Amino acid sequence: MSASLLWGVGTFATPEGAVAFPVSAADHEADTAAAGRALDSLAIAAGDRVLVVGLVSECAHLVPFHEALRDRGAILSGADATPFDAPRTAKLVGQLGVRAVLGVNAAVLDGLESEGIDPAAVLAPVPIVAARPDAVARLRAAGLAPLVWAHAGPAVAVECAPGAGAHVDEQQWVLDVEDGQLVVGVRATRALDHGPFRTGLRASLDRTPCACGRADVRLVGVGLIGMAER
Amino acid sequence: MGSTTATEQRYFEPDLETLPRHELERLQADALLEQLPYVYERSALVRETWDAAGVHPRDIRSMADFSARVPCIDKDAIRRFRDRHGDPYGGLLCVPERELIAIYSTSGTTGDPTPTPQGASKASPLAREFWELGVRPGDHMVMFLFTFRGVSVYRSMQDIGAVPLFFDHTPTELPRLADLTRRFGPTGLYLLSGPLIMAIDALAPTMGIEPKELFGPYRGAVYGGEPLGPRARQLVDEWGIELFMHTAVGDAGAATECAEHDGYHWWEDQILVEHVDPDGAGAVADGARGEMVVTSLTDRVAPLIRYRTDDLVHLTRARCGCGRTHGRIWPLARKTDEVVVHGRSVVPTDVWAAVESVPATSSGFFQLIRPQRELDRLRLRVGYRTPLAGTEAGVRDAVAAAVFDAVGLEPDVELVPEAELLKLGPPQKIPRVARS
Repeated sequence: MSASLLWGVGTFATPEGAVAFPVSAADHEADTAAAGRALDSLAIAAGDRVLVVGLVSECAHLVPFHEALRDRGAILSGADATPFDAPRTAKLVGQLGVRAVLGVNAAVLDGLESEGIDPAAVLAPVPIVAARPDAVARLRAAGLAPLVWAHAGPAVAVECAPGAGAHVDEQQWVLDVEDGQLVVGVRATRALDHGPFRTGLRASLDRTPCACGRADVRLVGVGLIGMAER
Repeated sequence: MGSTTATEQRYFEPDLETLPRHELERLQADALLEQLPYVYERSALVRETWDAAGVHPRDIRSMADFSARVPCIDKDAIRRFRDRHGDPYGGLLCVPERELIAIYSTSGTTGDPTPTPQGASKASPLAREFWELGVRPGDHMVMFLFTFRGVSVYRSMQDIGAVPLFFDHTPTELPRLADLTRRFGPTGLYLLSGPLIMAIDALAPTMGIEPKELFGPYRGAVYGGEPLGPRARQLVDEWGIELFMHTAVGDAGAATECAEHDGYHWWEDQILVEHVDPDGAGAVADGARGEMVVTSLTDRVAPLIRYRTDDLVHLTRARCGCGRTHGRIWPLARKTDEVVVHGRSVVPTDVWAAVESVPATSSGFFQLIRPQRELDRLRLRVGYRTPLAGTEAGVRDAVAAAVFDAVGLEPDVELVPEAELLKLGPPQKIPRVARS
């Protein structure tokens, strides 16, 4: 694909290593629409302050959510998904009174704890917390009820309610489970090769109707392969 | 972008970048006189500060009135207002919150991160800089950034017509940087930092990466974060990459070198910069050392008006060899970085090369210990590479001797593993001054 048609080039992780993730302008538009549907299922609306925790290398995954937030009049804030920047998550949650924290991970929990800050105390006042697979069990053990936010290769899976399963946009992606591992391929015409790509995640697929009304497949029991539940 | 968009044109916005000075100053005056009543009506901090000083926008009819009468604000005033009123924006917000699309925050290098509200601007604040690097439509450009703080960086790349490649600012990304550089041949990089350059030097051989080959396709890279030490400068020169130095203009914008490498341009159509006595409020002459005071001319969301940055700079408004008419600064130090020992002023850059001249401390990681400005002894905490080459006493003496040669003061030197200093700061910089 010629450079002029590309929106950007991100990356995603597989057990075999990092894969370049080219995104065309049309891909980005489709991903922004999908992000909007995910935000709908979280009932995030105009005026809500939302903290997205991520990395610059994840822009291809996360900027669609930034733009979907802007489109609905919500107010985006950002902090890094690193131990060093973890206090920023705590500060912004406190200063801004955010309604949702999306994408918090184990590195941020580790960073908060190393600063003597209790992650559960930081996140408890937040109505919606969507956590990466490496952080979900820790937050549940601390008494919170986080939703699942998982980067499944190039796709982003977002849970609509605790335990309901994390939706993936099936207009763009094809999902399968091979030997217990979630595998993602490209369904639509995208700048990315069709794959399939192993994700390093274990999950099962649930295609039963969801209470939120979305028809997309859901990932249930999402975890990192090789990582015991903590 | 201007009327001509030819790839070979010298400037991204030629009409604005080369605007004759008298026209630039008229543009600034018009923008300022429109901005002041707008901000006074809407910014609680500005109104409170002006009212306390007995100043009203109707009193300000010229640049001279502005410089003579308008009171300054600083970061502490913003934090105090925030704490006093429970206002996360420190009294700066000039629009209803529903008009915001994002609230990012500053690095927090000098304290708590300060929220920076963003409106739905379509501006590309770094497009002029990236064009100057040599990035052109159809190119790829690396966004090698410490942290995600808004759309301005990648949008500026896209508005040129370039494709951003997204990376985290960490040495662990080097293999991926090498891979994507081979595949896409990016022509620009935003940005490199001192710690990253030292890490590339240390780690590239173990990763099978040859830095000179890695940086071959790049026409230029922006450098930011902290001053560039002599050792890092030597390395990038060996690697053949042209650096364009970059610094913040308060929290109002940025200033970046052009290809002349003769000072950092700030954009005078967007930001008014004054250059004042660090211990007072009077203007100092171009070329002299002064504190940078900034005013946002185009920001309508949370503009800063006469904001004292604490940054000491040299400054000129003389036309640059590149043909641009916009002023240039040379950053010297933060005002709070200076120590005075027996009447002699010392800032971190004064001892940097001396620390780097000793092999065990050649990474240049050090801190100036500054319990207060005036000191009886110069004190340094210096990081060494592990395992230590030589004895601690030998390294300490070598650093002390090199520093004495540089500044004429014999320092007290505390040695620590450099990892201890690196973990004190964000990835791109360490605090160069510590209270104890």
